[in-house]
Amino acid sequence: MKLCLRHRARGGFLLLEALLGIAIFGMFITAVSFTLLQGQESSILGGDHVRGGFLAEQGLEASRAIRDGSFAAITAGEHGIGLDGTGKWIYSGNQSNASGGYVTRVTVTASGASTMVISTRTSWKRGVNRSGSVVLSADLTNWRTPATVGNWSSVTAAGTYSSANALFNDAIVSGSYAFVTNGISGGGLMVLNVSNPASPSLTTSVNLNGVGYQLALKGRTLFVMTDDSAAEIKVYNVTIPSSPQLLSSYNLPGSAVGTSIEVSGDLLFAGGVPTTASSIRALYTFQISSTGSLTLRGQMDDTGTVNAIALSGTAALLADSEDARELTMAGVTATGALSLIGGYNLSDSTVDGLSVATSGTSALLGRQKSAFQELVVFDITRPAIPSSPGPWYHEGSGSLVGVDADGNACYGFLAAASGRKALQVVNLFDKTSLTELTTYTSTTGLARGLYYDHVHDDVYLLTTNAVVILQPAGAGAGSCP
Amino acid sequence: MTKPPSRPGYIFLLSVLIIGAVLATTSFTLLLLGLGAELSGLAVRDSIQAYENAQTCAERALLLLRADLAYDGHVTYTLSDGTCTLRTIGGGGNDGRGICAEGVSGTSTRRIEIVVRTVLPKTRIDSWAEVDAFSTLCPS
Repeated sequence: MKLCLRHRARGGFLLLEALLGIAIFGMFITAVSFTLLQGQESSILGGDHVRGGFLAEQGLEASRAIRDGSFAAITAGEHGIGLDGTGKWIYSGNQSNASGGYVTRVTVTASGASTMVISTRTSWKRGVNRSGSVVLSADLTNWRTPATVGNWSSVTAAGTYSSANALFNDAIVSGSYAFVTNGISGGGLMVLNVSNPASPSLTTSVNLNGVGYQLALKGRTLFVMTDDSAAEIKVYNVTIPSSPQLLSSYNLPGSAVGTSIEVSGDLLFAGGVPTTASSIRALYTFQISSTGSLTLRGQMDDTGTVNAIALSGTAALLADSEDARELTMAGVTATGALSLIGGYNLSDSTVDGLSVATSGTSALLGRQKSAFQELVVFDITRPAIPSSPGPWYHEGSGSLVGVDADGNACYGFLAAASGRKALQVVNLFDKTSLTELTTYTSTTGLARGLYYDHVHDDVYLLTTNAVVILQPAGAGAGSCP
Repeated sequence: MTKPPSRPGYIFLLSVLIIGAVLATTSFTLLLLGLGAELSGLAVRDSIQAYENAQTCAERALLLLRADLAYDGHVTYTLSDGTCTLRTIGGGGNDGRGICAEGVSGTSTRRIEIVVRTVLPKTRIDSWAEVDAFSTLCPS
């Protein structure tokens, strides 16, 4: 009897509990398997996207490499990519396959004459549920194709805009318009339509309340140096060239007289006649705001007049009237603070530096007419004071009121305050000789300034009575002679 | 003297629960890792597109600068996937220009700085590099 009672007390091990345990264990296994599979699936998908992204990027980079060889090789349509016999990328077929089942298609669409929109799609399919794609896009433009510089071994006057006794001083060209300063009473700034260089025409004239001297342009903002004693610097919005809008003006400190102006980034450089003996400021920098207002940032003493400014890296080169340094170097920080680095003393004379320009590692300084050669060319490879090798010299036909050079530093353009040989073109590539290649004799008065339009390969010669647009007339394209 | 009753059923159930909890934790961790891998794949794609957006801005800036040396940048373009922003072009004239381009796609941002030695007639580049933050090459 007691033995029978002990057997009935074993309730924890019934069949029902065993089945319950198995069921719970089964549910756990199912849930675990599901989450494991999901996790694995997500990992694989992530890997697919990474590989797909890199393959799509490869399509874009291949297109970029093809464009670097020739922009014309980027043809509209759908392409695959491959390698030619020399290992360079080419377009091949209309798709390319990579191991792992990845298919890449590069779609090229033209957007204007100089821009191609590249879109690459890399797709994959691994069964019913596992497919995907990555799409990347970028623009490629035709910035690598070199522009053509004409043969400046001879010149031709393409067109002329005349205005008697206008005393044209400086010009700057943007698109189809040239902004030109002059000494006309009640004027000072002209806007010329030069879309057809053979017949430049006046679009509008602006009263600067004084004579207009040098110009600088930043985007659609024009800066003009004038002799208005109450507001030497005038700032205009020229978004609509036919209607310049005055944004602001700036009165240089004290009795300062402005003569020169230049712009770099969001800094405006202004040079002029040194003020009083106790405060001999002659170079200023201004921060340009988005609305065109100017905030003084730096000032530098200079006992000479800053007749012209050219920029080279973090230095400003000044054509100076200071006898001890006709070429003055000023250091400038990113915030516009100025410091005098030093200068080069052309000890052969005390004539003033009137004009300055840079091209590559060359700096051109134009001087007043004297018994000595008016053009001085410096090597500015080193950022310090230019010295050896050089400088080199060339005889001008008068005071060199304007100098410039093409981007290859092959041709030097010299404007002299002279009718005869008002423009000289010299071989800048061979500094030891600086051979005169050609000249232009002005019939509209003495030259007063010069502007070389790099975009259109034109020279704007500013004279007493006219703006003359000169173009290369030699056969074929120009080359460093 | 009587033996205490044995309870093997409860030990079995307890074992099942403990093992189940361990397996559930492990699989949940692997699930999260998988989701992370999938998000990483999308982030890589966004990063590549952000870089290409910056390249697009740089290409456009060079083309526009060659057409007009007074071009000053300071513009944001909306592209097919993201945006790109050009800072004010550094320098002035035909020599010594600086281009700073920033591309955005999703949450990724990438930046490129270009030092242009000469713009015309042939554009010569001194450096074209991705940077973490812009230097003083270009004003803001």
